[in-house]
This record gives sequence, C-alpha cells and structure tokens, in this order.
Amino acid sequence: MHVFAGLMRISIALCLLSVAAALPAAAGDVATTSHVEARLVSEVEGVPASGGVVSLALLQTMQPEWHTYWRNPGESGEPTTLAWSLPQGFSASDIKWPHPERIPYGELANYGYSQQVLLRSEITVPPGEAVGSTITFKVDATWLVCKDICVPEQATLDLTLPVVEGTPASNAQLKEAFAKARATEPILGGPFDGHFSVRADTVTLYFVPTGKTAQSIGAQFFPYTKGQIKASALQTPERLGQGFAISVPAGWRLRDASQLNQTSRIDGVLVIPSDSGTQAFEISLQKGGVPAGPVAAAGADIPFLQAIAFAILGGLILNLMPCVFPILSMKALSLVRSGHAERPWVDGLVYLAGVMTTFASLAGALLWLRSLGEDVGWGFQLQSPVSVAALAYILAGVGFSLSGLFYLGGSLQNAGQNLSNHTGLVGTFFTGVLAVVVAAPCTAPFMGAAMSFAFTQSAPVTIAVFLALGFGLALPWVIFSMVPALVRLLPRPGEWMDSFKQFLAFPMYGAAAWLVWVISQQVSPEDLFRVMIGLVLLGFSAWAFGTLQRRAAESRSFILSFLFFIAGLGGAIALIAMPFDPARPAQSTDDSPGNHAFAEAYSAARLAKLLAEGNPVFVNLTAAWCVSCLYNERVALSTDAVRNAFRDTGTVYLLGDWTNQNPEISALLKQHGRDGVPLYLYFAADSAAPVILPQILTEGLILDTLKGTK
Amino acid sequence: MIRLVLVAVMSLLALTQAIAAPAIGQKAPAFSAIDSNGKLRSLSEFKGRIVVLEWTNNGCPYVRKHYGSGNMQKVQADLTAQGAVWLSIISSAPGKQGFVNGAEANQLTAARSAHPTAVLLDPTGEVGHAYEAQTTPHMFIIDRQGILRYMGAIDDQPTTDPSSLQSARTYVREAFAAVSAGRPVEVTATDPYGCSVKYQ
Repeated sequence: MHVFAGLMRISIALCLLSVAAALPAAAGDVATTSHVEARLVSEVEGVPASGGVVSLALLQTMQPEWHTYWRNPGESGEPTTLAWSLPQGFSASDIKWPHPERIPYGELANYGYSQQVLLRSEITVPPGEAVGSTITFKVDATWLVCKDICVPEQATLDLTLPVVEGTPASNAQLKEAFAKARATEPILGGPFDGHFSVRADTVTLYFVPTGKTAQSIGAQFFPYTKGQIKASALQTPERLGQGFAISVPAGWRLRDASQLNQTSRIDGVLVIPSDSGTQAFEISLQKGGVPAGPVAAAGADIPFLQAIAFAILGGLILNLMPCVFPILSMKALSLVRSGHAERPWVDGLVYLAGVMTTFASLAGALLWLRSLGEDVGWGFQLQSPVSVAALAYILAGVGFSLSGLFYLGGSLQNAGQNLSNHTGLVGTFFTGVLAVVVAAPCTAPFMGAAMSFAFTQSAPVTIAVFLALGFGLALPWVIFSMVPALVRLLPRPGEWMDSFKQFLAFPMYGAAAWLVWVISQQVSPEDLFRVMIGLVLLGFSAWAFGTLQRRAAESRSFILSFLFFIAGLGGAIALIAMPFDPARPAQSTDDSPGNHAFAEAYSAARLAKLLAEGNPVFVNLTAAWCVSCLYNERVALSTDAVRNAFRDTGTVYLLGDWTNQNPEISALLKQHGRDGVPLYLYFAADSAAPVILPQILTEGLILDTLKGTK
Repeated sequence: MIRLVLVAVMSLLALTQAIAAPAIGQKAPAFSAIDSNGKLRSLSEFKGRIVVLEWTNNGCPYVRKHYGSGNMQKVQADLTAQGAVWLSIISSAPGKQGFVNGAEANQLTAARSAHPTAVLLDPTGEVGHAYEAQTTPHMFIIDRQGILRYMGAIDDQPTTDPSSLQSARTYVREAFAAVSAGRPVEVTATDPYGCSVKYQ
C-alpha cells in the first residue's frame, strides 16, 4: 500500500513537472512548498494599454489527499489569503471563490479543495500605460494545507506582463483551467428563492425554483458564515412541491437565541450536480418558514382531504382508547341521570365546542412554540418526564374521582341538575376539554404519522387537521345526543351507575401505569420512585379534598382536611417539578426499544460514515412510548430469520431512540417529512437515497428489503 | 378546579425542551477524565471555582503559535493566579497527531512551562464530544455555579502567524474577567479556529 502510494506520488509529481515545463513565462512564478505547488498565473498574455480588467490567479496543486480551504473553512481550518502589491492605479478584487467540496475528517468536516484549485482575482487596470513597457504584479499568499495534520504555508510570487495594444491574447495553456474555475464560481441570482427556519437547533433551508421544477438530487449548500450550520452534517435534500428542503443541525450561531435574532439571512452557495459537471448558485436565504407560493400550494392538493378524512377517523378511534372511554361513559351517565333533559342536542354541541376549542388551542400553542424555535413535534408531550408525570397525575386524578374519593365538576347534589342550565353547560364544555387532555397521551403512539403530516403544512392546514381530529372525537357523542331514539335506549338510572363509574376508574389507572412505565425509560430509578410517591400524595390529597366536599365549613376537621389537601397536592406537584436527572438507565427490559444485540446506536456521523463506505444500512427510529414501534420490533425486527438476514447481507442496523428528545433524530425525522416515530429507512449498498419502509412492518417485508428482492 | 388543573397541564406541556449541545447560559456538560497523573478528575470537583477548558494538540500549528510565543502560558498563569481552574484537554485518539500518554503530557507541560491545573487525557473523545470541541485550540469558560459563560476561540486572530498576537483581542481574558467580577460577558461565543480535533 505504501509502495503504491509512493509510486502514485512520484508519477503525479512527474506529471506536474512536465506540465510545468510546458508552461510559458506568462504562467509566472512557482513556489513549491512541502504539500502544495503554488503558481501565480494570468488568463491573458498582456495588459491592455486602454485599461480594463484582467484575471490573475493563484493556482494551487495539492499533493494527493491534502486540501486547502474555501472562504468558510467549515469546522476547522483557515481560508487562503492573497495580499496584492500592485502599481499605482491598479486594484484587485477579492478572490472569486470556486464552490468548495465537503471534506470529511473523522466526524468533523471542512469546506475546501483537493487536487487543484484556481483562485481568481480580477485586477482593474487603469488606462494609459505605455505599450511595450511591462507591469509586475506581486502577491503574498498564505494558506493552510491539511490532510490528517495541518501545515500553514506561504509564498510570495510575482508575474510580469507586457502592456499591449488592443485586447490581449488569452493564455492558451491556462485557458481550460480558467474556464473550469469560472464554471465552478457561483452564479449570482440563480433560479431559486430561498428561505430558512430554525426550529430548536435544526435549520431547514428551503429552495424554491423561480422557474420550472429544479433538480434536487445531491444538492449541497455551503454557507459563507462559519458556525451557522453544522458543516459535518449530511445534507439530504427532500422534495417539497416544486423545490426542495435541506434540514441540518444548527451551528452555535443559530443555537444561541441572541445570535439567532440577529441573523436575518443565510448567504451561501448552492451546488447542484448535473450531467455536465456541477452548477453553483449564490443564494441569500431569508428568515421565514416554508415560503408561500409553489411549495405550500403543492403540498395541499389531494393529501389535504385525505388527511382530513384520516383525522376524523382517528378522532373516532380515540373514543375507544382506555383513557378517553371512561370520560365518555361519565358523559353518558350524566345523561342517564337527567334522562328527561329537554334538549340533549344542546349538550352535544357544547361538548363538541369544548373538544374543538381545545384541539384548536393545542394546535395554536404548538405552532406558536415552533415559531419561537422550540422543537415540538407531536409526541413531544411524552418526551419530557415532567409532562409525562403531569399526565399520569391527571389520569390518576380522574381515576380517584371515579373511584369516589372526590367529585369532579361540582358537588353531588348538583350532578343531576338540568343540563340546559348554565352550570351544566359549562361543565359539559370542560368535559370536552378534559376528553382532549386525557386523549393526548394516547394520540402520540397511535397517531404520530397523521400529526406529522399536519405540521409539515401551512398553519391553516395544521389547524384544520387538528379540528378534524376533534370533530371525530366528539362525533359519536354529538350523534348520540341528537337522536332521541338512542337516548331512550339508555338504561334507567339506578344503583348500577355508581358501580359502573367506579369500574371505569380502572382503565384510568391502567393508562397512568403505562405512563409511569414510560417515565421509567426516561429517568433514574430514584426519580421514578419520586413520581410514584407523588402519585400516592396525589391520592392522599384527593381523599382530603373529598372529605372537604362532605364536611361543613366551620368544623375543626374541615381545616385539617384542607391542610391535608394542600399539603398532599403541593407535595405531589413539588416532586415532579424538581428537575429530573436526564441520565437514562441502561435499557434492559425486553420491551425497551433497542433490545437488539446487533443494533448500533444511531448518530448522524455514524450514518454518514457507513454510507460513505458504501455499506447497506437499516435505520430504525423508535421510542419506548411508541406502541407501534414496539410491536414492529417484536414481530418483525427481532426474529431469528431477520437477525440472520442482517448478518448475511452485512447490513448495519442503526437504532435511534427518541424516547427522550434527541436533536439528531429529530433532524433525521424532519429530513423525511416526519414529526414522530416510527420511521424505518433502508439504504441499499452504495446508495445515498433511502427507501422509506411502511409504519407497520412484517418479517417478510424486512427480509425482502434486506435481500434486495423488493 | 378543573380549570386550574388544565392551566397547570398546559404550562407543563410547554416546558419541554431539548437537551442538546453546550449552550451559553446553560449548565455545562458534566464530565470526568483521567489526568496526566492517572487521577480521575471531574467537573463537579471544581464547583465554586471558575473553570477554563482548553482543547490542545501539541502538533497543531495554531496551538504552536500560542505556546511557541508564550502567549498561552501567560494566559494560564494570569488566570490561575486569579483563582481559575485551567484544564487542558487532549482528545487526540491513539495514533493521531497530539496523542500523548500521561508521562509525555507532563513532559510537555514542563518543556513549555505551561501552567494548567491539570491536563486531561480524552483519547476516546468523550469529553470532546460532550462539548462539541472542533478545533485546537477551542476554549470554554464555566462559572462558579457550573454555567457555561464562554465558548469559542481564544482570540480574534484565526491565523498561525505569531505576529497576530500583538493586536489580538483575547476573548478568554475578557470573558474570565467579566465572570470573575460577576459582570455579564460581552462576547459569549465566537467561531473556534485551528486544526480539527483529531478524534478517532
């Protein structure tokens, strides 16, 4: 290997020597440093006596594997500099930088040039130089050249050109090199409009063609300013309407709130590969979300109606969830109790209003948070142990009420009042609100994908989808309340109602237990214990509250109960308000995602490396609270046949656990238009474009995918 | 009652936040690593003192600019004299430029008369990754409460030219002085410059 590399080096050196020998004097001074041969060259063979602009350039030829840097060097490095010494009246432009290539080094990356680069500078020549005289151009050049190590180098070069009549002849030897350099310089005002948005440490760059559909495969964006995006992150353009979007982790400049506020645009170069080489465009991306126009419109064609239909269906299904069912049953019970209600449909509509209002506020709140840059996707409510614990409290609290510890929505005496009176309707409205709140934990595991769609759309579409979901959730009850025949079907009120109500507490406890299990995946055992003690205190507080409701206000035990209630509730809230230790315990239970001996943890850098090496890769993005993820892992991803197929095909299994927030995984989800898990990606060998697998997997599907028969 | 609970829930839901890369004003990532004398050191042991982290690699020309000119040693001496804990961290992987064992690290410290409180060896890059250290040098300042107050370059001269030091604005000195006096830091983050950290 070493001998081969040595031979390569010698042969390349010989080539360079022969080129050097062939170059005429106008090719100028050469400096050969330890890793670069640098030459000052001119595009033309003379300086026009009438004045004008001539191009001079530093031509760097690097040894194999060594590279120099672009104007933004990426995560390390330093750009080449040219300091000109010119005669009176002459001036030099900044370097006309050809677009760079992304040069990975380990898990970091630089923007620069390998092999050879021509750094052109436009020299303005004043008129009136005497024909026949000569002009000497001098430049002090510095550069950093790196392979695995870095060496700063510098050279002082000069070039003398004659002053000529008319247009100087072009330098035949260098014509091609200059033409190539010019072709790789970015074109100003390219056929794109650009926007960018930053959502919790992920920058999304939107490119919208001003003309027809644009080629997006392999497009790469290079910002002029260091630290705006993470240079080492793999850029995968995603088609979006007529244009495309690239999502990458933010650099420190866009992670810092004050810096982010000051950044109104990202300027840089978009490089698009084409059959005839590459095309580069200089683009100024303006701050703002998905641009209005082609992109937003294109997303809202047929999928919109489909999404609305799915959302209504999803809402209907929510009624059967263990956490929502009891609420609905309570509703039914109240109707039984007031069986003679005159206008039950008013009640139905108020309930609908409560549900819809809550969904609309939720969507509004999420959109608002996102506009502030928070990374909230659907399912977010299960990513923070604090919010999971709060949801567990609510479910347990509703359970305690159903068990009879205390009464929700006023005293026992009021419960049977006419529904059409004021208090009754307010209560009904809040039953709708409560139904949505308790449904929230259930929507994430089952409805992540629908919600994801909603959030890739414009704000009105997002809200429409949420409203449709609410409509679906409220629909059964609305229909029920509007059809008197159905109301008459209800059994007569009686003793059974109390027993049934108490029975309904158990699905609530079950849902709370599930949430506690989710927390157990997120926090240390000590913190888990804290949550469970919190639940006990909550129960204590509920009991004290119940005794309050039953006692006369003036008795001494009233005060005691009141103190118990406050102490219990305060203690319970304090226990989950304390910060949780983010350290996650090792995943050991069978149901944990990631219980696959052959899986590696996902990281963007690891994926990039594997793809660069041409390996086939399977990516599973999952979370402990995602029921369909766990199901897929059980039935399709951990069978012996699948295990063997992974081994036989040499496919690397990368597993990203999104149980807790993870910006790298959020970024990958966003790249593929998702806002939640599961997401399964398969990259065939030597392919950078993944196949997205369905959300419900089968063993056969995985085997076919891995073996390439599909 | 229900209304109160709902308000509480909504505000709790809004509290969700990403735990991510080091950020100014946030808790600095905790770490522990073996120092050049084989002792396990961790950030938590320096609570109550201002901690300066310096990523270094003695083969890197940018590091050489600062050590060859005596600049880095001077900053180290001045800041540690004012009570700073100075941790030089080497995240070069075995076989990569800048990788040293404990004895070599101590020799290096002696040879260049450096004044770090400790030199931490991070051949797996664990500490480097926690801070997303990109370059050598790459500097971080953590206040007495463990909050990250500065990250980025040592100064505003991203070059290997030693003469640049004369006109340099040393961000690390400024930030340390501000943190030490309890004032807000003016420039809290800058682009780090130098060689890539030689991770494995």
